[in-house]
Amino acid sequence: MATFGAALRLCAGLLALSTGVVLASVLLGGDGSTFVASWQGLVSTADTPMRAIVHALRIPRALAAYGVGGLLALSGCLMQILVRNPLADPYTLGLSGGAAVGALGAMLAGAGAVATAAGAAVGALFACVAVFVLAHRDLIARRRAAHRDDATDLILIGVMLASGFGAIVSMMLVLAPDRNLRGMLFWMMGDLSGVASPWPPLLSMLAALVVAAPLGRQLNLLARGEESASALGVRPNAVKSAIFAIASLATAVAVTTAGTVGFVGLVVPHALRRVVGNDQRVLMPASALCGGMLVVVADTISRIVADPIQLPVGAVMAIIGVPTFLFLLVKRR
Amino acid sequence: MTATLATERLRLAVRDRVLVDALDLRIEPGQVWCVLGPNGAGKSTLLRTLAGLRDTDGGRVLLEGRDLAAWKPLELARHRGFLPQAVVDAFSLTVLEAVTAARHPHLPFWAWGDEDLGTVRAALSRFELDELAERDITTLSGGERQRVNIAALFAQDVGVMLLDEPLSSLDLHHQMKTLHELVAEAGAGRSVVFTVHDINLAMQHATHAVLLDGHGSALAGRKHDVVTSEHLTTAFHHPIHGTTIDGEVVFRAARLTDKRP
Repeated sequence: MATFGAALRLCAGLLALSTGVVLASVLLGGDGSTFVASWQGLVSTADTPMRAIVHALRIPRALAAYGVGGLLALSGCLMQILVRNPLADPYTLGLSGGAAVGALGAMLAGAGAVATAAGAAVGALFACVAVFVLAHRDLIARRRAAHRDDATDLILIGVMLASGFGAIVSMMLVLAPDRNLRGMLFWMMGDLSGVASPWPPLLSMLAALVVAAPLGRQLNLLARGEESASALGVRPNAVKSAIFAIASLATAVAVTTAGTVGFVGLVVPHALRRVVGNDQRVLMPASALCGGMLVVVADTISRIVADPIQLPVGAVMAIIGVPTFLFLLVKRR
Repeated sequence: MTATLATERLRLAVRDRVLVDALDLRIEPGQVWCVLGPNGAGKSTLLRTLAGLRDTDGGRVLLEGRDLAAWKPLELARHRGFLPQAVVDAFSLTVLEAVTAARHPHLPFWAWGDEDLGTVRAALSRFELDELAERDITTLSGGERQRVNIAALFAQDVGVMLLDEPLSSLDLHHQMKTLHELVAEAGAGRSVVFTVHDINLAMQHATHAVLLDGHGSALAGRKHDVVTSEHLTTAFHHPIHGTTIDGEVVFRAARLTDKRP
């Protein structure tokens, strides 16, 4: 069992590692920029082009990638508890579909980056509200009937909404003019190149952690079933509504910033469960920090490998993540 | 820690079917109650209602003279514990974590929960689980898991212990051990209510009994007044006869044919 001290040491270690990863990402680049030149760009005050690249492009992008990864991994962690299913990820409840419809709709209308992000946000929030309205009996019913398999309805509602949104997205892609198609596909696979400011995802990640962390003990009890949790003084409806809200908002911010980056929300909590166990008080912060690092690494690779072409970050992540995860899965602890 | 649990004209209904009508109970510290009845008679429903996990369909349930609905969940969890019929773990966790988690109601909001493990260790060793403490609970056998959940209820340290089929999937030794520990807890001033299918195990350990027939009638009181051949035969729709062996009444259900195998 993890003690408080051990959890604190783990988080401090991961935070230190994160700093290193972000720093490395900032110092690495394509088009002939060397490590030393990047370092000088980072520390010097002279107004060089390298300084502009590092400060105006690489730093915001790396920090935004970190925030997006942290938000998605934390959200995946919470969703898995909410639906009591290890296969859940931030997009299980149809949120990415809603965001995609909003963002692609804005792109179809010829809107710019800001309007696209706004469209994604509106779509994601619409999907959240739709799930909440449809599933409110599951989420907020005060006392439910005995032995009901409570999570299934919620997943089914999410899967149904996702299918509906998916159909709309396919139609949009078919109807879209060719010049928009590339941008749309990139958005759907996750794209961090258009990040304006790293603060919304980073601060949201911090806020989500601060709100979710105190719920840790109650989440641990909820994982053992609603009935035993409520016998131990947990209000399942209140806790479930809270984690639904936190996870949805976190995902909405991530999707608005970077499009639908897949994989990280499903795999990071899973892989960490095998390493640090299933105590939510440890798993939540560890997922957030590791998710952040994973996306930073994937994004750095995606902008360097095929430079000047940028690869979609979600695809890069899956290509490095899948073998790693399969290795963990087969090895077992 | 002691508490009195009482019901006033308690009515339980599932859809249109009335399971229990106007049941008056008074469960005092030191008493061990068994709840008997055929399948679907409302044993679990009664227990969940007594635990406050389900609203009554009429009448009231009172803990320490106060309506259960008026208790805050966390406060209630410091006075009554409930063992569900089945705990399905969605994720793996260790035995120690599962039992420690039951200390939740006693911890301040910000506490981590690893400060005082005395109660937890005691509960583990009572149910011979010390060696399994670091094992993943999802890899244990059904009976071992059941013992972990019973140990968790003991670690919760409550005045009223409600157990829904605590003996299911336990081997004979652990059935007797569990009942022994429950009786010992009652001796220390707690009250215990459990549902069970084995009438003889119930009679060996309980002081009081509730017999449900699933059609609204519920008998409650001292076990020798409630659990009789006559009452059992009526409730279970099956001939059940009591005989006395070594001064204890033992009940036998009649075979449905006359042939002996």
